[in-house]
Amino acid sequence: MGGLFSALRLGARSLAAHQAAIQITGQNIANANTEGYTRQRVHLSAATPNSLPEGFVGNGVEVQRIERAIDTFVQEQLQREDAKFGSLEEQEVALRRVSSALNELSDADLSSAFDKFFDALQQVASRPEDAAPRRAFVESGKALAQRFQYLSGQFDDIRRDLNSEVSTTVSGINTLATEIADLNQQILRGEFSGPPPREANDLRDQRDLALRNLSELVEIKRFEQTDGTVNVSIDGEYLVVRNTVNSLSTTSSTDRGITILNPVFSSNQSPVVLRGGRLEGLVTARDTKIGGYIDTLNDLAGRFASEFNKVHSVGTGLTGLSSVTATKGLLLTTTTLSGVGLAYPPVHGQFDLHVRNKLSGAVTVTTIPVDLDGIGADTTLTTLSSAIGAAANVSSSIDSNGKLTVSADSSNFDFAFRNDSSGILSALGLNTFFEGTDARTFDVTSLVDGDVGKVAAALSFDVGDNTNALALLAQRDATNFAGGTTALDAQYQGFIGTVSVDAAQTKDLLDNERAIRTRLENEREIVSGVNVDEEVVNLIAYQRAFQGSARFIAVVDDLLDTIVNGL
Amino acid sequence: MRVTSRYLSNTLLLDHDRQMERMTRLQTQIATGHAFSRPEESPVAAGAVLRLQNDLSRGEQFTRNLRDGKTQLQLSDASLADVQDAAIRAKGLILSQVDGGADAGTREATAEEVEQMIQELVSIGNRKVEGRYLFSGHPTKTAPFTRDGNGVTYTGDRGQIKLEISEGVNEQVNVTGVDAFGALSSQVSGYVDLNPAMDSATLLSNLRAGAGVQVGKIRITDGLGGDSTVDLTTARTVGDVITRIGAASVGVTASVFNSGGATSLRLTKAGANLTVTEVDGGSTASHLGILQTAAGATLTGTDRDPRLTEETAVTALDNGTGVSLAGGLTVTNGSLSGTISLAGATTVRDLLFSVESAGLGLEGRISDDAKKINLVSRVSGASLRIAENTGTTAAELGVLSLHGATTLSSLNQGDGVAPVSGTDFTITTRNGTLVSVDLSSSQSTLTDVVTAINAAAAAAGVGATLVASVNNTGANGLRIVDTTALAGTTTVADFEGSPVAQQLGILKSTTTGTIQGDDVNPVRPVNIFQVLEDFHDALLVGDTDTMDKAGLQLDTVLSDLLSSRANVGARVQRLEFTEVRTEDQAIRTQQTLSERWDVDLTRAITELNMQQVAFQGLLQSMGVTMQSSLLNYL
Repeated sequence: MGGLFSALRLGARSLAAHQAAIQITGQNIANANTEGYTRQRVHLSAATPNSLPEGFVGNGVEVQRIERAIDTFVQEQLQREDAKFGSLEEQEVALRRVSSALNELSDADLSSAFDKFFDALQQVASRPEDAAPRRAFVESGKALAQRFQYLSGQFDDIRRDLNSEVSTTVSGINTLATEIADLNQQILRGEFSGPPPREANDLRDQRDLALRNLSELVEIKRFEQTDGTVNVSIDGEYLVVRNTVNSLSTTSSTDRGITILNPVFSSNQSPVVLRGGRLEGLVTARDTKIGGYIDTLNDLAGRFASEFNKVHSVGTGLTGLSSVTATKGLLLTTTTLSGVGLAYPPVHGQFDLHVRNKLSGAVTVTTIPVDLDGIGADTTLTTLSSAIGAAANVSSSIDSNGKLTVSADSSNFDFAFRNDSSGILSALGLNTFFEGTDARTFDVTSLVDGDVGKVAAALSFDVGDNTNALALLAQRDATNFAGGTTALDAQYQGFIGTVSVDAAQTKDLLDNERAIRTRLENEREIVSGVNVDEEVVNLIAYQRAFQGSARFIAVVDDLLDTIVNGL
Repeated sequence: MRVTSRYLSNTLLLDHDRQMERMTRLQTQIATGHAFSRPEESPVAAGAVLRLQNDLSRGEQFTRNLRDGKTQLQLSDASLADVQDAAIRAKGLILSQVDGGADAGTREATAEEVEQMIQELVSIGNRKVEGRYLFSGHPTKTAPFTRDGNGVTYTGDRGQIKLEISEGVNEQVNVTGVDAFGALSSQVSGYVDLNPAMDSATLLSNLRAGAGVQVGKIRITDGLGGDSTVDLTTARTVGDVITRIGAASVGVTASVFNSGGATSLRLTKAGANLTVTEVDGGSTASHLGILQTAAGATLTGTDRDPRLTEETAVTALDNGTGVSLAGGLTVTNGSLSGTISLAGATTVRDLLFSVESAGLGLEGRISDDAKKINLVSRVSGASLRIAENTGTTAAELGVLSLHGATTLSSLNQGDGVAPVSGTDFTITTRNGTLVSVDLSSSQSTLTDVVTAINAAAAAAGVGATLVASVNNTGANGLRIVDTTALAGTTTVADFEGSPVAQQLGILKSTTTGTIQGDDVNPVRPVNIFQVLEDFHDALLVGDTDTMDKAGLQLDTVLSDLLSSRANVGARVQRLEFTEVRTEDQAIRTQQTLSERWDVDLTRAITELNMQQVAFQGLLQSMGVTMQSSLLNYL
């Protein structure tokens, strides 16, 4: 049987143990609202008893270990869902901005602009000889152009913003990676400085939080090492190995007219393969989603302009043309026209040049071949110009910007183009209504804006002829899109459908993800969260034990006093 | 289960956010009246809304066009009704003037009235609506009818003005002077197939009388082991076909071959046995006329019959031998007359333009079958005659108003020639020989008449000195040349009241030996202007026959007018029908749109109330659970 001093030590040990327990309870209560904090538990156990002949006599209590109440499985799931959530949230925000820019279902959308444009064209067909409906038509064309330019600009802006987010996110990833490496270092040092097993709980909490934050930015894999450190990789490439960081940076390239940043590993400049996380969401929204929308919008604008121009270029306005300059200049004037990089290239064919003597009304027709069959010498801008110039009473020249100008030789002559089977007039922008080959450059030509009489409603030199206006109207239903299967309205509606389905799907997935994340957070809470009431109960229990131990010491002290002073 | 305060707040916040979103959405629905205001809220319904909105807006455009078109047609019809009124009045006047009761005084007064009427009709023809001439065709800013001593000239065209009245359907909404007044109702119809030859510039779409060529691939085998598939998909012209065949590795030369009135493609390769076949079941070779087997070294296709177009070269006409234009045409159109020089024309367009710009009231056009040339008179009230100037231009172009093949029944404006049984007329030669000519129904053309006269002369023993022919130089008509070597008179005389000599335009006598008959086949438009001009002129000279005739023609004019009005009426009805249908459609579309897009306000408000109650409950429970703590009780 141990002595009273032994009992005194027992009391002191109990006091110390409960003081520790109270401290941890205090720590738990203090961190009840700390993000990433894991409830800690004090494991008390009876101290190794003394073996006496009568039997074992207890030695009181001691703190066996302080551990985190953590479910690593939930933790890993959370990390995965964080990556999905981050990606979806970035995409959802970007798509919402796209949808706002399109502003569809309102009166200020592209489909309304198209409606107004064709409505104004109907009015021109109704009264081709009047200037007023022609002016209104040209203005509606400009409104349509502005709408295209606005959308293109908005899409570019959204992509630029996404781009700067890419850059911010990459530095965020680097910061977190560095933090994780530092924590690895601290944990390694901390856990190895004393007798194992003990874990640096708060440091590990901090590291877990950093890992979750990192997961939200980019999908990662964590590899727990036996020494307590964690290695992190992005699609197989290590980002953090113990206390070293393979940091990310960006390289820039040009995509659809703007400079974009692509994440790479600094060490070898190899591109980062993104599977999830905000960074993936940003890049997907920027390149795949909005990039795709821009392609569709550009095709819509460019092809519409090209096809509309094919019809317009062979018509005649209130008067014939006295001079017309191409809107598109070619740098390669002696290269075959099919190989000069025109966005909507001409094909083998021909067109007619009608030159009218205004005094007599006599019309001379010259057929200008556009030989692009690849057999023998094909037509170049230079040979085209000479072929036009060879017609009587007109001349043709190419200026320093490679723009073709066709002019009547005197004010007694004017001219018109007809029957263009090659599409060269539209491709070069001769007597066209629109210019530009994509949404950004789409505009009404200065030819018709400067003189609304040049709106080519006629297929003759008669002012009341609206034949070409009707042909222009028919462009609305012409299946010019999707490889000649889809008409304008259906193509545009399809585009809006794609955008809205993308946005709706992303939002649904995000809502879903948010619920999943909340559920997992709650599961984590069930295990790791701090319930203040529970802690208070614990606190009271520990308090009572502490008080009891103190009382025990007082009793032992009395006993000692009795022995020392009473004997 | 352990429930921590963060667990509670997480759950409550998620519920709170969802509830707020629901309520915001309901509030937006109530404020806008729409079930959704952004497409992504309901992509499928939004797609439908976009389509329906599109339909609605197009429907509005069509409705406006329908109304505009209807107004224009109704105004035109009102003018036609005025013309009809005038025609009926004119009919009354004619009846009153051919009666016995009329005398020189009443005729003069009536002539004055008819004159007024013509002027009134010209002003109806020149009616304008909102600054546009109703009846001018395409040149809407130019008055279509002008009147001078020669008659009423139509300077408008046949231009149809159409408006889009439903998707892809254009309806004509104007009535031209041609439709309303028969302003271009008669023409010298070309009678010669100008049969153009192909050249390398000929468009494939013009071949096969305009049916064109379906371009695809063809396969050429030379029988010597060589073969090539030639892709003609991008070929537009005959020249393109020739180039592509020439470029093929099989080494065949292609060219255009004109012979015997046929214009065809010809392929040659020395020593070969050429075969052309279709590729992939196409019809290109067949359309090009070269689908042949084992044709030898030269494969000559079949006639490709290109259409006559304005761009056809004069040299390509008549199977490539061309038409001699040096002679020109002599034209008389009422008081207008002159020679049209065609010498500078290189294309059919130039030729037609020369005709139109000669100031002789002519329109030149290619016939509907795209083989011939028609010359149309623009002047109502004048007679058009076209003869040779010198040479054979008019005959080669087939535009003589009277020629050997002209049928007797068409002469004198369709009155024809009415032979009696027995001798119809006699010709007395300079030496007094009497030639009796008997025509019967077996003579159907002027050439037949010429043959009959020459036979009669031969029978009378003067076959060598009295020769009849059809003359076209300077003026058209039968010509009888008496070369008897004696001075004297050659006379054509009626025989016992037969009208034939008169009807053939040869009731004449001469001492020059040459009787030049009249052109008894002039072209005269049949329309209200022409009838009134004739009537007016007849009144001034008291010619009751012409008045009678005018009366009869007026019946034709009236029935033409009626059918014009019926046509306009039918078009107005069609527009009205379409308008009603378009409006019905618009209402239905509006309904569907409303079903798809509009929010049921009662339901939305009720639901909002319910959500509000739920929201309040949520807030309350948040308040209660968040506040309770053990600490309150210690």
